[in-house]
Amino acid sequence: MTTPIHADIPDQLVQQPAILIRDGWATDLDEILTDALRRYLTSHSAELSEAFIRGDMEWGLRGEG
Amino acid sequence: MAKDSAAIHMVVCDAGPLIHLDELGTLDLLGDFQSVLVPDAVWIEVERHRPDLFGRTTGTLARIVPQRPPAASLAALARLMPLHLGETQALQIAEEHRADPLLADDTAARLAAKQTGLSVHGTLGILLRAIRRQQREPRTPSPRNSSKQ
Repeated sequence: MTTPIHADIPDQLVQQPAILIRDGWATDLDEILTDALRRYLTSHSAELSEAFIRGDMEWGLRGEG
Repeated sequence: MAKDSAAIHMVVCDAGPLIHLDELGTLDLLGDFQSVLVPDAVWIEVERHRPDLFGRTTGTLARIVPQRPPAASLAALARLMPLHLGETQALQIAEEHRADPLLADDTAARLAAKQTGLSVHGTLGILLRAIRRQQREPRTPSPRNSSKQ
């Protein structure tokens, strides 16, 4: 299942994926946008935030220096 | 704030901890680090959100302008995460100056720091560290405050 979205993206940002598609690195812009969103969500995940909070607590309470 | 042999010598600070510590009225805690490097792009970002912040800090904070573009590996990582200019400069300066730790709250920046082998901590860690180093007292919420939650 997919959801159509409308997004205003700077022209220059659209031109770069076009080169990747032309050279065969991706099928189409949909694939690139999906991958970009997936990567963003991975690097901003709740699990990651929780791990960093635990790291802060450990350092703050029991760290050195 | 008293310096001691156990103090951390040099840290690099991203915008998040500066802004959040200032919001909490605890910016003085950065004075417990012997040197706090603030990347130029971070400095500009913080001034946009908290125009008078740097005017209220003592000489602890040092504005640092990167002397060269980031390494190709860091530039690639910055595009991948993605990272803002200030976060990228913070990683670059932390590596160049061997600062430890990097102080940052942004998840992507922290993930990138981990991947480059840098230790990284955020505002929460700085606050808890202040309690461990007896610069702040832990406060237990009163029953009245607890009932509001």
